[in-house]
Amino acid sequence: MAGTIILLLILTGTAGVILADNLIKKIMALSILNSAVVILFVWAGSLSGDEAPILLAGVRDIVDPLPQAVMLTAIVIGICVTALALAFVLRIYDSWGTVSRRELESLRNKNDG
Amino acid sequence: MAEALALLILLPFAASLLCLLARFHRRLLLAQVVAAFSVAGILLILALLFPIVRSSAQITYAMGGWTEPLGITLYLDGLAWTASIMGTVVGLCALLFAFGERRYKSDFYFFFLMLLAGMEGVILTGDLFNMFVFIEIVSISSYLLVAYSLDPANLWASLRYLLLSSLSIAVFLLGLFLVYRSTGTFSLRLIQASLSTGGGNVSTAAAASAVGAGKALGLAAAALTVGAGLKAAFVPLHTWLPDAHAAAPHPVSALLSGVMIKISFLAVWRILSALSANGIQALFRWLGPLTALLAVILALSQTDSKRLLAFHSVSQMGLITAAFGAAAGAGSAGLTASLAHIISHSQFKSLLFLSVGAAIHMTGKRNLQQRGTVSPPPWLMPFFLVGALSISGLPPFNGYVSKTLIVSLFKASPLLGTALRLTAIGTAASMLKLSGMFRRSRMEPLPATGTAAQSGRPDLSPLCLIALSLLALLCLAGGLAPRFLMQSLVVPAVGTPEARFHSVYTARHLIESGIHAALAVGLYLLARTSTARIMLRWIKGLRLSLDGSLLLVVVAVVLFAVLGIVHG
Repeated sequence: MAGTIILLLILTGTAGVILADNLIKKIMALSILNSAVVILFVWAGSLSGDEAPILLAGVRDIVDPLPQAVMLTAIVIGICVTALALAFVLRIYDSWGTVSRRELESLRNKNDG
Repeated sequence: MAEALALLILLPFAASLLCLLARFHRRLLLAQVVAAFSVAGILLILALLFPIVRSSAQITYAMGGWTEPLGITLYLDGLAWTASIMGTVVGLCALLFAFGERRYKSDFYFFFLMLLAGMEGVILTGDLFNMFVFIEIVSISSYLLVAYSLDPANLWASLRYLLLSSLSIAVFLLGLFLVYRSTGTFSLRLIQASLSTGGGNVSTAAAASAVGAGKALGLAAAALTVGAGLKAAFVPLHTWLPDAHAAAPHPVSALLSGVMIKISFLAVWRILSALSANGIQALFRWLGPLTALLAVILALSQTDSKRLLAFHSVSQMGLITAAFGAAAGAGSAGLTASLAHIISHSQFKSLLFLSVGAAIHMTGKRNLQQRGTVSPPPWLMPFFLVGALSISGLPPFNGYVSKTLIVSLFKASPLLGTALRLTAIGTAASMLKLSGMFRRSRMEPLPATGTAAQSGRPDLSPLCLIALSLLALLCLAGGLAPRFLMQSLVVPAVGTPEARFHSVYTARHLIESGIHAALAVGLYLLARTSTARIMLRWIKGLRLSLDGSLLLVVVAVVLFAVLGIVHG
């Protein structure tokens, strides 16, 4: 069940990045894709044991801590890239007044002559 | 001594933070001094480590004292050393050029040093997740450097690069997931070790699960290749490069084209050799010549000088990947040729970008069709010529040596060999086209009494000249003393002692390059006819949309995945 949802999220993200015309929607789709991969890591990691990986006396069968730990880094990087992309879109909108991929590309082709 | 490895990454990082501090206190000189010293520091450390690398020993350093599989280990082997020294030398030249241009503020040096630190990290790390982090550091700083002018067209170029690169990074993360599930570690060395011991299973259940794991690893290799390979810009992942590299400031174009794309390719190299994914490696034997030929046709049709050069970066990456792919069958000879061309290309391409950049800086025109009234000074021509002859594979420059090594790998395959020869001819022809920039324009009055200052041409600082001369000398040295360079730089890096270097200055190769040059002149004259011009304009108009490029990334994932699973 969880696997199916994650697969759907990945497909949604990929389709959105490719098909959306609005740049902000493209960036949001990338965010969805990134989150889906993070959920995949955490979900698969959670299947490896039952207890939280805090090594007190009597704690046995712990969850593998590494996937969760590395995903923290991936989340942070994902947020930075999203923020940067949105800042770029804002700047582009300020000077050209559009966030549509199609309009921006026709503008560029006109500029090239 | 092992701590020096961490220093190779930490030194440019710390220096970049100082540059950020200098930005808030408006101390440009401080930023420049710090940047120059940190790059010089890296060179010094690398020089001190050379004797150890020469004796083909590996230096390892466990970050923070945590050993594998939990911690991150840095490795310095011959490949990492050669890549670092190549990147740092080009970085130094680009930095000197940036000082000379006097257009950049402290924040430029912040991003520049971040980029250098990230590239050191990608090549030094022995951990796949850590590699992801460093690839993202390289990516983010290169997005910002490409968009440094804040011109909306450049921002748009950078944003397209960002979207493509982020999609490929998501694929890389999926690959990491598959690797971790099948092997339980991110460490490249442990993965390699587990693969080489896992082959001996006899029980059928274990064998069946080994086959399943093999398929998962093949899929992982495919995902990681696309993820790290997008920045290496081989077909079909090349679509972002021409726009991004043309939009960047000149020193950044030199660093991105000269070093960054190759560091990304070396990351692919590491991943494929750790996962021993021969099927994917062999695919490069076909993808490489295809990339080389396609990109050179596109380059010939360009009218913007920097876009033309950027397409040549794609085309040269095609040669590099072709040799790497041929190594799947030919072994060390292919790897030697690939690495030799990586080094040559880093030098001549950054020389070309910087000399074209200098011409644009002085004349203010970058379009080859635009008629200007100011032409660049005659002394700029020799620097361009060195780069142009190098990239065209003509003696006695380094490009001749490495290109000859690559072409001779494809002796047995007439089709691929012809593609590579056509690439060489097309490259030389488009360099002839580009040289129009450096010739005196007909509309300019003869300089009877006028000096540079009177004709209104901005001066070029001596620092830029030093950068250009250094790169030109390296190109010449690589061509004149190939044996020395190959034995000290390339052979220890490839790591096979039996890798020998055969002289490339034979009559046959020399005559062949002469024929190429003659055919190139013919092609150049042909391209100037009106029919050819219409065709080239049509080719130039063929532009893939952003959505198409994003789709190509997915297509590449599927293509590599099928190969990875079939051979896995």
